[in-house]
Amino acid sequence: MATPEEARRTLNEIENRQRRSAAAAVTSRWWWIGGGAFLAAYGALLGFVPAFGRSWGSTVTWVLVLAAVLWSSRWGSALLGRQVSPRPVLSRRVRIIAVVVGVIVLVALQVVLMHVGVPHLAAWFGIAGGLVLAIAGPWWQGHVLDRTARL
Amino acid sequence: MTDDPPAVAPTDPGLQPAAGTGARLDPLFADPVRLGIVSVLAGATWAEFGFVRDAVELSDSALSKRISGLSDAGYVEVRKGYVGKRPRTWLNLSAAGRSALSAHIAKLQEIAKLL
Repeated sequence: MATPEEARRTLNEIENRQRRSAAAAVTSRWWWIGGGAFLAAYGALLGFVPAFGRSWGSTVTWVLVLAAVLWSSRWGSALLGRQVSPRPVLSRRVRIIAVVVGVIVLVALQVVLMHVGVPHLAAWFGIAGGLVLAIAGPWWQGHVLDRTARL
Repeated sequence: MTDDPPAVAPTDPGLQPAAGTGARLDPLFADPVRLGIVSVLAGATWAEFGFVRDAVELSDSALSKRISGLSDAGYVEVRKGYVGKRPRTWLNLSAAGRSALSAHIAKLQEIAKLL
């Protein structure tokens, strides 16, 4: 049986090790900023140069799907030099619900804006989404990893 | 004796003891190296073997031996694969391992409260 001092020391060691592995799962802030800039530029191109979407839309979509698979798989993470992946804080069920709700909100917002007749809708969506990704992404990640690291 | 809270508070629902299991010290975690390994794995998901080896400062063979014990107990999942031509091994804390660790931590917190 451990003494209270030993127990406290062990708890601190467990917390330190967890924090270190959670910190190793951090994605660089520049990835978030780069992703945000890409989204904004892509949205602007779709909004202001509709011919670009017709020529390159499906190619860009496939590249993004491939990037997402690379990012979220063990194999892809290893290829990108990531030794650990962040642990999801939310359960699979909650994550699925969050994605479904997010898609419904986005589609509803788009339908409403189309009825209002906002010009260059894709551009505003892309720029707003890009800004959110670049600014809120690192904050969100820090928040999630901090929760992950706490016991 | 004081009523001070322990240094670490259980705030992550993923590491709460499962209902009905209660707080208990796991004999497997009496070995500080094994406890160190599961602590590293608890902070992330699917960590590369090399990362865990460096984090707990063990040799490849010593870590393999410890991982075998934890894997046999159902606490750690092991996946092997290739990235290009290089073989890789990934480790993950299983649900049973996470539950055992949270019960172990809960017991340690009970003991620490006696300080």
